[in-house]
Amino acid sequence: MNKVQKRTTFVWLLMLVATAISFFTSHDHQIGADIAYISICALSYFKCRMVIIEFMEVNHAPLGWKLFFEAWMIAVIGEIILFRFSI
Amino acid sequence: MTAAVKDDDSNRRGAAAMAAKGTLPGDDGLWFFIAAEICLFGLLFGAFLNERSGSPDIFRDAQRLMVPAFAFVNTTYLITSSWLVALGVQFARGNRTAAARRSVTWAMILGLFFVATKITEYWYEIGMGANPGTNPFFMFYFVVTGIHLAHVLGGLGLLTFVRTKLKDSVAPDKRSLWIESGATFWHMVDLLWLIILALFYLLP
Repeated sequence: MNKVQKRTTFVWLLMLVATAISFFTSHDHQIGADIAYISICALSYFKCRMVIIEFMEVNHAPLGWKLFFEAWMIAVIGEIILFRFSI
Repeated sequence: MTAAVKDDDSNRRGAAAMAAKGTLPGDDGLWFFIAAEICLFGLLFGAFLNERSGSPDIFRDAQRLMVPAFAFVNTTYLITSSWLVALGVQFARGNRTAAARRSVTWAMILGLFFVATKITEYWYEIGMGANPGTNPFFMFYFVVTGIHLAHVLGGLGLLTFVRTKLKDSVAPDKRSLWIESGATFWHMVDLLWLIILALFYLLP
């Protein structure tokens, strides 16, 4: 494996760990619902960012595309948080 | 022997060249399609959240009927499949055509596992009495995951086509362009699933 392939593999492993933590957080009743909610949102944001930046290679994209994907992630995760805490 | 597995840097669509040029992988038109698709899903997610805020008890009780094991297994399949396709792109750029084809084949097998698991899950849920008419949660669940499943099937079709282009008789730049395009669509399917997972299975 070259450096890029090792990096991609590391990202894949991180995403698997983040997924496992998400499931654990979701079903651990010791953690408060609000903390669990925010943690899952943060982990989802992290995983989505990894897919966009590393797998889809948006890190090499023109600025307009980078801004579009950042805005999409913030909008989606933002709406998930806002609907929970503003109502 | 070592030479056979070493990347060949002659491909003009190599990662370093892409980074230097500041460009997107794959077909440019596909990126506009993907942008439209993820915005559409963003609206669906917003509609789900809006409906949930109106009747949180119905949504909470319905979500408790979901089996997390199905979602965990399927997430693992899709993330791993995305990783394999990403590796396939890098192999293709290094002109390692056989390795790229193998990566895509394994990615497709995991994609098929996702489809089989999702169908099993639907069968289980319908057996438990859940259907799109049961309540708003299940209406959104079947519609959103159904549209996503259609995208998985579309992605599998695209990867099947891409696989036929991964041979030495196809020009290296064309091979890379095809696999980059297929991979970009496949990663979008993974991306959308990560939000679906949070909304329907994980968020308390």
